Amino acid sequence: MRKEDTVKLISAEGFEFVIDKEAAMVSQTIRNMLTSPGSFAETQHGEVRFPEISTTILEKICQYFYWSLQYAKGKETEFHIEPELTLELMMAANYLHT
Amino acid sequence: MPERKRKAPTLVDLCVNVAISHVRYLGDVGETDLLLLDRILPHCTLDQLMHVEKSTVGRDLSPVTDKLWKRFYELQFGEANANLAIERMSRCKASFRWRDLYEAKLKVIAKQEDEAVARLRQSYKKEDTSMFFFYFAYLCFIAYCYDL
Repeated sequence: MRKEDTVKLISAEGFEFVIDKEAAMVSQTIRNMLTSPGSFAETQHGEVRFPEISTTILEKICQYFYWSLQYAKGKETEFHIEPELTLELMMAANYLHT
Repeated sequence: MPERKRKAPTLVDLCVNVAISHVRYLGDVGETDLLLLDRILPHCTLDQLMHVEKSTVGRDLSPVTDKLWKRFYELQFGEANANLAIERMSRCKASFRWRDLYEAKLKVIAKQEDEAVARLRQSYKKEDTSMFFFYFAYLCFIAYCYDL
């Protein structure tokens, strides 16, 4: 996997998730960050920090990105969400336009 | 033929669905966006909504919950009473939250019930007293008749 094809998402606690850019772009917010010309530091370094999103939630979001890609390709499985994560995950998803 | 791509449901939609199906476990909703709460809270029962609002300390959820409380008010006390409340508010140029109106109405009804019970008890008491005098007079009469 080439470095330029990946992006690093960093949680509030500093955990790093290296995922495919294609997966990360499922999020409209991340897509805007990575594709908008110039100004965003994220575009240059391929790194996005989320000081408001905990590791557990960011991990779940990364899982969703890949699930979403699979779904679009026709693999329509169920995406399980633990009820206790729902509200926090929903807020993060809302922020990420996901 | 090209493969038709199906768009995955958004994570927000998936979360909203889970929240709706577990609405009975909902408590403090924290900083959850009002637009999202507007999709979830209409699925609450009256008690669940009360629990959510009381658990969510320091945040006014009435922009979302007021219309829900109005519906509960109408269901419990009838549409006529709800309209009466609206009329009174407009007459007094005042505006109250429907949750407060609901709770106030409950108190009024409880008070009316207490008063009705008290009145009933009082009338029974009166009847008891008059029955006592009736029996007393009857006994006196019997005693007189039999020259006791």
